[in-house]
Amino acid sequence: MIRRSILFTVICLILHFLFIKAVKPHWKWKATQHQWQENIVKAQKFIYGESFSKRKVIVGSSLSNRLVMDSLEDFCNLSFNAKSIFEGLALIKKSSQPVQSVYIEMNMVLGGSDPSFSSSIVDPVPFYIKKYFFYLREENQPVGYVGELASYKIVKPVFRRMKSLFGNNHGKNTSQQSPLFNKMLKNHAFEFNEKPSEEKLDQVFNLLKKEITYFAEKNIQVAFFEMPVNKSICNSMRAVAVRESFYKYFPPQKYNYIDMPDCSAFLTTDGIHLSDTEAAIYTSYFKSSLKGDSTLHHPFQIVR
Amino acid sequence: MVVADNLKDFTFWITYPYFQNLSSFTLIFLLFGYSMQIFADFAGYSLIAMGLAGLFCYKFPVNFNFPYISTSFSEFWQRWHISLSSFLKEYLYIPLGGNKKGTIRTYINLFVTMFLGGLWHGAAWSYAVWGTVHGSALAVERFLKGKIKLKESRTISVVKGIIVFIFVTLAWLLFKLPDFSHVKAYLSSLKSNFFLEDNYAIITYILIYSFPVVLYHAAYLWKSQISFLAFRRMEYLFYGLMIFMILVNSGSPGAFIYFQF
Repeated sequence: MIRRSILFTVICLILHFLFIKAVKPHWKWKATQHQWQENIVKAQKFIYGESFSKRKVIVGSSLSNRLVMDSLEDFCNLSFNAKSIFEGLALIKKSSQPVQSVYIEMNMVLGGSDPSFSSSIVDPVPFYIKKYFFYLREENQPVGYVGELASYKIVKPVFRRMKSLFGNNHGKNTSQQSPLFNKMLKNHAFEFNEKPSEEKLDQVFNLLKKEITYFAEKNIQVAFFEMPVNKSICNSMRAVAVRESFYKYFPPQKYNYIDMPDCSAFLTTDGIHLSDTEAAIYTSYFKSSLKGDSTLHHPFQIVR
Repeated sequence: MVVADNLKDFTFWITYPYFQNLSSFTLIFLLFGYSMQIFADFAGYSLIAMGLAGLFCYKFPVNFNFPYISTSFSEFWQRWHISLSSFLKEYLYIPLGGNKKGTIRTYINLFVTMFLGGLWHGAAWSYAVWGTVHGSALAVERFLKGKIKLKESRTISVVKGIIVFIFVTLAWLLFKLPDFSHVKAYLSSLKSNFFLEDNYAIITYILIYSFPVVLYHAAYLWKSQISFLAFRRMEYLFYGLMIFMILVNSGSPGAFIYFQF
């Protein structure tokens, strides 16, 4: 029984390997299952050097994860959902990538660091196993391939049919005008209207200062940018306190900033995350800010 | 543990305020997924403990005996977390008088035992309510048993099993969301989010990762049938597949759910 079980495992592994080699390059469906896995896949691609040609790196949270990367060809986006900027910074430090400049999102810096995230990627055992046995990487999990296909081909049509039988329409996407949007906006506004304590700010910004000093020693250029949010949050107590701390610890005379555009142009999907269209608008603004001035300053209306 | 660790990344959405963005159908599947996850997690590590003890020649008693096939609440508690339910029975229910002090006292004893059993999990109102809900179910079941005599049939057993499962699954919400206001918010979203688009990816992955737990229970029911012998002959395929899944699809590591209690 044990021998036959192991033999069957080996057969499965060989078939899986062949699938990844032969079918994956032509696979049009998404193979990641959830946002944690998307974060891991993105980090693995960076750490294993699959984006070596991209020497400019954006680090941030789910806010800058919305940036349209097709328009920013030279950039690698190490923005992770439900994470802060420190995970991206830790990966840059631990990788052998020749990074030239780092663009740091300012909005969600207070999230602090999650060392378990980067250690799950760069610790020697998972790092080397997944480096050499690439078919064991998260992006190659077999359920990811089955799941996405089953979702579109089976579950979605079956559920839609069932719902139409019960007289329920296909449902609506979360609209910016919906009561749900107002509820989410209210929740975020409430959260952002709480001023962070001085201790918390000092703790986070001293940690960030240490990271920035490290990059300066390595001659890596650093720039800061703030993703636009809903105007009711733009100048909230937390947003202002964080912004002021950035200017205090990293004076604009010494550090490069891409100034935030006027927030009133952005409604967002929930108060803090840009919609696809808004993300495209901001991405082109971000790009033009870089092109417009080599020192990365931009003559836009600024929020300071 | 592969099942529980993978389900964890989907049932994460049963967290305030994230679930407010999801459709009612998706929320129902999330609850189903959590029911499967909590079983896979807790029964999984109970089996690991039994296996480890076995290596040192200790034989630990079974802690989970296919609980989701239960057709009554009393049967559920004879199959779920047997070590705790035996403890509650011997050190609370029986000392309180058990069923020896009249009908009303029996109901009160069941209620009190489960209320305290709920509090054993933590000093939060939701755990107390969870225990109370189960205590009430046991009392009502006992009351109805004396009043209604149902004919034994497979259909009735299936219906009873479904009712017990739905009840138990809904009650897990109090475990996942120890803040009672969040439970209310979840139920309110469940009621009002029918107009939202379902998240088919979440639903699909919950169905896929729950399948082994469903199969595990189904195989137990199937065990007495002769056709099960053919299944037994191919058992090595399942073990082989399990090892393969551990290697390539193990999910993100997380603390065992019951470690918090």
